[in-house]
Amino acid sequence: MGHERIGILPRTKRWTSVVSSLASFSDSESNISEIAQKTLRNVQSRFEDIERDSGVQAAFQFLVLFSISSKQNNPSEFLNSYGIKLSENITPLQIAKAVSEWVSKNSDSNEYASFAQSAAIDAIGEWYQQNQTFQKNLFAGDTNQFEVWRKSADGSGFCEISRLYFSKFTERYLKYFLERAASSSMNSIDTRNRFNTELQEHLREISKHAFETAKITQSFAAGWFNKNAKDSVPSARKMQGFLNIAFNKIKGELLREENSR
Amino acid sequence: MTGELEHIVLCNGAKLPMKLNKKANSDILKLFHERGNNERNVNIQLPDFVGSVFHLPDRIKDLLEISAYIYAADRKTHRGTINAVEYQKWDRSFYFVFPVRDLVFWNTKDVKNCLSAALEFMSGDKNYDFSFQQRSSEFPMGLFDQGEFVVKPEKTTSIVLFSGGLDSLTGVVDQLVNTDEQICLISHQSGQPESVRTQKKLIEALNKKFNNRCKHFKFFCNLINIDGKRAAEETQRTRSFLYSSIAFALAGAFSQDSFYFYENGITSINFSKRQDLINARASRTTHPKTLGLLGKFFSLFTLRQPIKIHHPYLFKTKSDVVSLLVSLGERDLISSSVSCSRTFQNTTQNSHCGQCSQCADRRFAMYSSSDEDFDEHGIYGFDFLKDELEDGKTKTTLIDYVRLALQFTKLNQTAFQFEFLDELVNLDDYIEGTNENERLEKIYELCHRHGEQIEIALERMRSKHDRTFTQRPNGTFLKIIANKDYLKPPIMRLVQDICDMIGKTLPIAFENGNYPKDERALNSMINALIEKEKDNYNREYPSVRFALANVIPDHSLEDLFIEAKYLRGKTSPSVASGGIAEDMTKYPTDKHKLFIAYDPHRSIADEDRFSKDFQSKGECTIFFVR
Repeated sequence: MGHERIGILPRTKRWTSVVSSLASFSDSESNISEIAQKTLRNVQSRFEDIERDSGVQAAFQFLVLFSISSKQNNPSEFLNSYGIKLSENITPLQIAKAVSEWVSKNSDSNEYASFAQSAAIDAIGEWYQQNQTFQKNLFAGDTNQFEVWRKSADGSGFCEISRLYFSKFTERYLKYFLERAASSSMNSIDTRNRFNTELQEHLREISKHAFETAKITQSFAAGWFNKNAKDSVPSARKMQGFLNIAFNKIKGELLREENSR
Repeated sequence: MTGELEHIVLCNGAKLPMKLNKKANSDILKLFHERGNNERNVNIQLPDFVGSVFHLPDRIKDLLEISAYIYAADRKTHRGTINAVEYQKWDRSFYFVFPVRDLVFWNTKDVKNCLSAALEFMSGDKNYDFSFQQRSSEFPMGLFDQGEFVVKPEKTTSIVLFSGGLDSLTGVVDQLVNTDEQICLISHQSGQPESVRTQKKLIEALNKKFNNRCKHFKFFCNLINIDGKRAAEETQRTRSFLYSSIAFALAGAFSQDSFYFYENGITSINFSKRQDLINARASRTTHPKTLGLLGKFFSLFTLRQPIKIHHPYLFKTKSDVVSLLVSLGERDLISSSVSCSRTFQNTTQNSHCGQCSQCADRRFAMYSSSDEDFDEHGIYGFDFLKDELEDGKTKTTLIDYVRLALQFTKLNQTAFQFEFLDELVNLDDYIEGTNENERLEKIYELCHRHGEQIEIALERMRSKHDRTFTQRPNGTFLKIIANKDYLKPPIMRLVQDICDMIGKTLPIAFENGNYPKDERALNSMINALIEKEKDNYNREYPSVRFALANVIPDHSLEDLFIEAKYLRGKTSPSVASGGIAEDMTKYPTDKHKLFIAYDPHRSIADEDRFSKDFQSKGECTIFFVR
């Protein structure tokens, strides 16, 4: 039975090496980059296939549709025409519920779909926090709540929301492995908390570099949106193409330091 | 994923439907429960209901069989190992074929959809699909072969699921004390003698005190394995469906439209503590959505009012439940109740393993409510307060339990809602409240209170077991929690972070005698340095609102004010202290003030004494940079 089942990492040499790196993580000396690289290398071929997962595609598709909808005269009606039903009270939680329903309806496997759904919801939450001045009414409902999304309906807005999604997805995916061994490898609660904070920061930096500093991705994201989503909804194939480039860019950034050694 | 193995389960002689013939990539499981059948591999025993007006409708008989078969298939179908790289195999796809008596009812689209939705959520599985066939034979008595259960529908009776754990025990006592109803307790007895003994002992004690008002309905449902080994799958995530189906059938027998699950809200909601702890790895047995979906499904059986599954302790923590049991005068029953989720693994005389999440939850609750002396009479096989944490799983359980609880205390309501947005998705439709805000506030308050209670428990554990002159061995829980930084309020941790950053950067900004020309220039530089890190601070300390004092018009909105003081060579200590004292009066007394004193010429010789004088007077930190 068991109220919860604690996952463990395979006892192979390359995973044992990750556990060793986790054990040497400390407040004073961060090896977060090395830990992330080792983990990603262990699942590199899986990560390369992630773009093909229907749940990952569905979550990204939701964000694209949502961005496009926010510049429509009637966003709810537009979303409804694609099968996304929003309540009249458009709060972050109601949008998150729509994400959950959409991903669940359009995914074939629960595992990646869970990360994808959570990452899309994280992206929505963070976007709101970044773009909403008065947080007081966030969860109270407001007919103008779509206003905050209008900023996502152009190239740079879409680039940012995509970055949030890929950053959060990759963070959750790495944690999926690392958190199985993190708590048992560290000897204080502070160190354990610091580990999560640093991993989150690392992924934020990586994704920023992939989407902002690397102009090629930034202009690609903006260009992709302006070309494919400004006046119509991009096809599934085009969305998968975007996922492919974005995940590859994140992967490249994560492994970049190692390769340059 | 598409093309993954689908598990086809043929129950009680059901025939493989034609449309499934082509499913080559399927695993076929045949289940039988009828006595006399040589292939019998499921043991279902329900007491025969005896009552003058009682009659089990066909669809309820079907339900009892269906729920037992689903539970059996769940246990016979291995999800995969816990040390796999990924857990894709953990979400299974089932196709059940059942012979039923009330075919029209079971073929209703709503019935199939509601049943699938409930099972998919509670089990974390990908898919539950069904095909129903008209059964030809009469209802076999094999299902009801465990003696008689006397039903007296004329007396008001509550139906309560009873495991013998603290929560269900407290719920029963609560009802016995506060109502004059008879209570029908339903217990699953899967063959663990310890569980059976626990339940029996507790009910005897309750009946002795409460005039035999408890009736115990025990049922068996387990698998018959030729090799004597336990079932392939131990997660048993669909057990809630079996238990509640029996409760629902009994509720009908007692003319009730409801029954009770007693479990504290933190355990029921079971917020994820780690990223791998998703889908079937975490129990959703009494999650509000599980109970809501089951209630919706059961409501299809009757044309009367909807079936309500009561969850009275949803907004109580485990500590609240313990305190309630004590206030009801039944503290002595604590040590007889069993909360452990690994009773089947216990080989010693101890009733609790002391290592699982349920044992950890119970011990923290006992310390939080100061009732640990009633719980520690050798019931734990492993004492995490004394024994070294050699087992990685135990260490993970404890650390992650504490981390989540402390996280609850650090977040304000808005930050909490964003942090747990994806989990709140599954709650909002299934809890009561007039609007979203009210519902979210209830969940936030529950979690926040739980976090505060765990802080109290940690303090009590330390004060009771941590000896001043005894070294804590490495690898013990007390050693892990020894550094109390995590207990500091977020505002003090933010102050520390800002001081660390300013202490490193300001001397570099003004090195080589390139001092700021006045206090305004100093403030601008500090403002710029803090602004650069502002996003990080906001992320790490979402509940703390802070600002530099010279840039905000309204002092009532902030929690922390930051002000820079430039102590130049000619500044005397009395002038410096006078300036700070004057500034202190500008801000609300309950808000924290951080004074960054830039003192490159060491005007203040004894900075510790200078700081202490101010800091002892209230919410204030003086930080010197040289």
